[in-house]
Amino acid sequence: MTALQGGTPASPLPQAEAALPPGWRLLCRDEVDGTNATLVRWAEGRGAPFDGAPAEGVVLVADQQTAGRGRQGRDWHSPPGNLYVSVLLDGAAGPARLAEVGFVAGVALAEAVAALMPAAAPALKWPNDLLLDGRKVAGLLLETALGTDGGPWLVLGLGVNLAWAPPRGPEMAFPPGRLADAGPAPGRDALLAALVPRLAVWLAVWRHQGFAPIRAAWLERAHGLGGPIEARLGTGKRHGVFADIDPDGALVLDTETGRERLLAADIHFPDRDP
Amino acid sequence: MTTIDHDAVRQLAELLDDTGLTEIEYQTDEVRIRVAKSAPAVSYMAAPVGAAAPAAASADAAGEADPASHPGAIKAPMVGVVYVAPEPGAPPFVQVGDSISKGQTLFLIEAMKTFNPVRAEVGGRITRILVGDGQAVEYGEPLVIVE
Repeated sequence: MTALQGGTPASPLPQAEAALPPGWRLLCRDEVDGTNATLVRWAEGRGAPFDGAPAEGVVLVADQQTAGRGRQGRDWHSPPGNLYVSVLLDGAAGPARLAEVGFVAGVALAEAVAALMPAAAPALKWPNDLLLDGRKVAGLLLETALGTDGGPWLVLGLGVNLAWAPPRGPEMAFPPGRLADAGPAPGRDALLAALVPRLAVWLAVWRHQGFAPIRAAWLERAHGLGGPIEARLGTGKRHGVFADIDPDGALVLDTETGRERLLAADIHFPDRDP
Repeated sequence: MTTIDHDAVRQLAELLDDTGLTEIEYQTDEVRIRVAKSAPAVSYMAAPVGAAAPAAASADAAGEADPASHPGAIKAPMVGVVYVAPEPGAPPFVQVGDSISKGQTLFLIEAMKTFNPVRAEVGGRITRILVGDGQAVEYGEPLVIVE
């Protein structure tokens, strides 16, 4: 197994290990191409370091990623010091509902940061970026995969800037930031130990009660609700007021010509942008 | 009433036609049967003769029926935005004329940063691609025809 394929074991994260929900397991690697890409391969039966079928709750942390990705194939610079983690989740809810898990994870991450940094006020940028003091400090990316038995999997990937932030790129709605910019910041181990149990709890809420409580918790931390936004789509730009999110998580945009639902877009906030 | 008296219903229906009435009710000690035909029902019966022909003709003229009903249509498994390539600027997953195998990735659909590969349910040759890059699609919307 080369480093690019699955990495070699790295130093453990004892707090996170101790905080794992029953049945979950934590794998730490020194370097992988991407934690999402690696977990997708493992879920699809290629190169998994464990015997038997994959199971929900495989948590893969890498010290660094050589080919970390964001939306639209953008690079996610991944030097050592930040948290790069992906979690394998049961995808049985089906593709039509799995996008809701991005909101589940966003809420869990915001709560974890709020618990560790009481003076900070983390906010969520639709659909699931984490903002701290007007800077983007974390991003999420979810991908579905198909197991060898045909079973669907969902790979949830999170990148959280703890010690390092990239320079601002032209397409970034907010300047990148680090947790450390907003006060004494947790390390990877403490953050993961706070995040994973909250993720498990919010997943259970989602599975038993549906998206409504997730949506409510997300809206409490929503950035820019009720204000003007510019949505950049692959096919153009839309301007309007960020009115709400739908019962399925779609952004509800009130434009001069009526109400629209957005399912995939980069959201910019004209008030703040240069 | 334990069984439907088909003969009675049929006789009443014939009576309706013969008399031009729209409703007849027949009652005995044991049963009451009401047979009615409404004006909309009559026009519905008449409509297909005139309406179906143009629809069939236009489908023939276009060389196709509704793509959604095509047996080789692969449909969107979720609402979202379609991407024809793994990332902007990259070569598309598939093009018209390509031979594909079952399980091959044809598109990505994104909803709120969740990326879902759309895979071929069958092997074959791609004869039509019905969506463009960045297009929003509804659940069940046909994406591609494989024959």
